[in-house]
Order: sequence, then C-alpha cells, then structure tokens
Amino acid sequence: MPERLDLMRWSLRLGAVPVAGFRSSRRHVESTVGSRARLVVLLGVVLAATIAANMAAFGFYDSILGSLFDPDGPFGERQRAALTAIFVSSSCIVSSAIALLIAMIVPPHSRIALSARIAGASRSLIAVGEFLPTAALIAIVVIASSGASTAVIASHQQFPVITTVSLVAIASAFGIVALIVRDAVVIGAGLLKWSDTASRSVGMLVAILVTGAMIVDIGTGALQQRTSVVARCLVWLWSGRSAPTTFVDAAASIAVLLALVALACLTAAGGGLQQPLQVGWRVLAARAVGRPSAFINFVIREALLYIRHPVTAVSLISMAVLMAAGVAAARTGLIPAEAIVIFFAILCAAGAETAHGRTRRVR
Amino acid sequence: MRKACFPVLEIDSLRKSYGAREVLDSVSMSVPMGSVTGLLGPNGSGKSTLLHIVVGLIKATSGRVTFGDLPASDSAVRRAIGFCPDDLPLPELLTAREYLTLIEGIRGMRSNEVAIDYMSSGLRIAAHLDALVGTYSHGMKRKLQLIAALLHRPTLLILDEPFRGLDPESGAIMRTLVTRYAAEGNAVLISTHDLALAGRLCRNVVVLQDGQVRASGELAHVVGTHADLESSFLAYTGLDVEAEDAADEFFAGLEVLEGA
Repeated sequence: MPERLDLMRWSLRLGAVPVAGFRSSRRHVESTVGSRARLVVLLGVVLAATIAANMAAFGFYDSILGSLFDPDGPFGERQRAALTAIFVSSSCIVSSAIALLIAMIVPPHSRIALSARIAGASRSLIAVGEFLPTAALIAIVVIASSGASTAVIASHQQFPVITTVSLVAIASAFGIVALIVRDAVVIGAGLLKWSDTASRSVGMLVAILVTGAMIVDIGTGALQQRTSVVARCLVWLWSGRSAPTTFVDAAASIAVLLALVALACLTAAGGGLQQPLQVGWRVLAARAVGRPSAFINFVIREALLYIRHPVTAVSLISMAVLMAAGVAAARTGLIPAEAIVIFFAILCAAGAETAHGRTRRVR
Repeated sequence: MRKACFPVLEIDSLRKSYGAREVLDSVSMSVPMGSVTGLLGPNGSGKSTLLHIVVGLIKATSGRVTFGDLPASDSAVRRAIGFCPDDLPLPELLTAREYLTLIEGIRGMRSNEVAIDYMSSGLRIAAHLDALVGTYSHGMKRKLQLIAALLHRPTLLILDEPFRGLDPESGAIMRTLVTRYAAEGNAVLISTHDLALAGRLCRNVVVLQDGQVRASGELAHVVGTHADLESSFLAYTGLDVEAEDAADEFFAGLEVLEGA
C-alpha cells in the first residue's frame, strides 16, 4: 500500500508541471489569437487543411514516385536509397523549421518554473515537465506536416509501422535539435552578457543557418548522386537498412532521441530566454519624412518600424537566405519552379504573421 | 495541536557573495518552534537573500542551514517548509484553482477542493478562484500565495514581507493567521519593514544590516533599555544617526529656499 501511495505521489508530481505548462501555453496562444473560439476555429481549419493536403500529397507522391520505389522499375538500389534519403532529410528539415516556429508562439518566459521551485520541485523535474508539452506539440505538427511523405516511404518498406514510428521520432528529434541549437546559442550569448534581444536573434539565426546547411547538403548530395550527411548518419545508425529492423537499431535510435530530449531539457529549462514581442524602437518621428499626407506618413513609419523590429529582422534575413537557396534550387532544376513559388508565398506569409504579431498586445 | 516534526531551524555562519559583493556575512540565527520570529532590516540588508537560501532557491557561498538534524536541502525538510515570497512572479495564465492544483501536484498531493474552498473563503478570495491569476490585485496574490504555502501544512512557514500592500482587513486576517499558526506549534519566520507590527507579532527578532546580524534574541532582550523595537532597531543599525543627518541636510535645503 505505501508503494502504491508513493507511485501515486510520483505520478502527481510528474504530471503537475506538464499539465500546468500546457494550460499556460494554451492560454498564451489563445490571447495571441484573440480568444478561445477563434483558436478552435483556427485549429479546425488547420486540421481540415492538413488532412486535405496530406491526402493530396500522398496521391501525388504515390502516383509519381510509387513506381520509382518499385524494385523491378528503372531505378537501381542506390537511386532508391537516395530518394528515400531525400524524403527523410526533407522531413527532418521541415520539423526543424516547425520547431523554431513553435518556439516563437509558445510563451517566451516560463510562467510556472519559479512557483514550482518554491513548492519544492527540482530543476530537472521542472525542465522535463515544461519541455514535454513543447516536444509533444512538435511531434504532432511533424506528423501533420510530413504524414504523406512518411506514408509513401513506409508503404514501400518491409516494416511500415516501424518505419513510420522511427521516421516521426527522428524528424521530431531534429526539431528538438533546432531548439537546442537556438537555446544553446542564446544561453552562450547570455553568458557573454549580450542583451536578450541580441541573444535571441543570434540564436534564431544560427539555428536557421544550421537548417540552411542541411538544405545545401541535400541539394549538393542529390546533384552529386550521393546521399546527404544526415541520411548517411541515419543509414549508419540503421546499419545500412532503410529502417531500424533489429532491437539494437531501434534501441540506438531511441537512445539518441532521449539524449536529445535530455539536452533540450537542460538548455530549454524554464522556457528559454526569449523576450516577448514588443513595440519596435520608435526612432522615426512622423516629421522625419517631411509633411506628406497622414496616410503616407503612417505607412512609411509603420513599414520602417516593422523592418527594425528584431523578430522581423531575423525573419527578413532568413527569408533572403531561403529565397536565395530556392532560386538556386530552381535554376539547377532540383526543385520545380512552381514549387519554389509556393515556397516563397509561404515565406512571405510568415513575414506577414510577424507584422501581425508585432501589432498585437501579447500577454 | 500538531506535533512538530523538527525542533528548530538553525542557520550557522552563512555567507553569500556575488563576486566581490558580500550580501550575507557570517549570518547565524535560529527559529524556534511555536513562535513567530521576525527578520528585520533596511532595504538591501540581505533579508530576502537569506530566506531564498533557506528555501533552496539560491545556494549559499558557505555556511550551514539545518532543520532539526537534516540539511535544508533534504527533500523531507523541503516538504516541511512553506514559503510565501515577496514580489516573485506567479503563473498569470493559470486560474487560481489551477495554480493551487499545480502546487499540490508538485508536493505529491491530490487536489483537495474542500480545503481550498475553506481557505480561500477565509481569505475572501473564494469568488475569484476560477479567475486568471493575472487579473488578481497585489493583495489577492499575497493571499493566494499564502494558501499555496500552507496547503501541505508546513512545520516552518516563511513569509517575505507578508503585510506589504494589504488593506487593513486583509492585514488583520493575515496577522491572526500567522499568530494562530505559530500557536499550533509551528515555526513562523517573517521578514518585514513594519517594526510596530513586528513588535506585536514576534516573540523573537533578528536585526540584519549590510548582511550581518546586528542583534538577535527574544524581543524583550533586543529592545533592552530602548523605548520600543523601532528605537532599538535604529540604534542597532545606526540608522538613528543617519536619519538625523538626512533631516539636517533636508532642512538646510529648505533654509536655502527661504534665503533665496
């Protein structure tokens, strides 16, 4: 009976921080969106769009690429491995980008760490507890965003379920890596007494650069008919097979994942070191642009304030880098030009979201 | 009456420094059970730092904090302490009820709605339990923190400036609570600027200034031959002379105005 009581106490202790963290984050997002009703509508639309997009993408991938995976088709073993590697790497990159976006919408400062510490919770318990909702969110969004490609790959593997689970786990792990890179840089910059804004901006930039390097790695790997470094690491981890089929391989994958989660817990403890979105620096008075009409004055001033906002600056720089990579990919024929146009539209939409966020009062 | 699990809090030669800045310098004091002990000192004297070390929020540079025979870092001791901080942020996006459930969960307790309802009703915040903490006034937050600190019935209750910003009714409720909680056999340690209040509430006081203990012991012993606690506090800290000097300077300014 005492053991049962202890177990209950531990489950209560382990569950308290994640539940409170989830509630707090949910309300933060609600206040960002405007209300709970709006959030529900938004999530409904996103869910419907995600299902539709995944169904369409699955049909597209399966009809175009299905035959390429056929062992009796024109592609050899090496080409099929390269194709698989591109799919896997793309999932990892998308999840990294998603993780960074999630990091921008979740509360920038921990809302519960201090209260939990006062109540006697250890730092590690708080770190793990606060990170779990974020990790779960990353996993959910990764599944939603890469469901179609994962399903296509899995349907052509010997063990579809293991392939699906491991792909989602590895893609989620890459998302966590992006957060670790960002938080590690932020903490390092903090130790160097940089300002919060500078630390966060540099952290985001480094994480984006790491992701960019992975894109370049995939692009050059595909052009040179070799697999990317990421894919080679995975292939090495999986002992040359396209999915972990032995207990040791699966255990190794899980160990890597857990190590990454532990690292993330250490670096993301207490919700990271970001600052909430704030008003841009008001360095430009309306009179500095002469005496045009009030409307033009307003537009110029707001545009300049938008550009000078730290988050916008990071967003614009990353947009420029990614657009350059996109143009290069389109010119080399690696990615169809139509797909690049859609990609640019998404990037611009992200910038617009930042503008919207800058003008909102976020609690 | 509750039986106390640990006899007393002992602080021995406690030091805390940030680089070259010494915040606490060989602080030694004790908190007996069944009474209220007041930690008095001007702003920046190290009171909050001392309390934060006792509850494990920050680490001391050297020295010992023991509760009974156990170090303060022991999990059993942590469970025996309730802390009500001064001006530390609360989770503003949780409702008060959710916040209290979080605190209970961290302590391994099931949520006790009945107890929470009684306690919040006693502190006049029952009607606001389902409101977000962010909408609470300063006084309501203090009351909520007090409930959170008492939910596990701690043997040692530590309150950092508990009466600051409270309206007269809330202040009276808080004073009664503190006195009765100590009378039940628990130890209560409060840090406060309010010397008149400390004189009424505390059986023992510790006067801290510049990170050093200037005086400690039973109230009557510390007051000694002075008229009251305030007079003795000013004498121990040397602030009586400083107060005179400050007044002289101020009136010199007024005289300059008159001459102009």
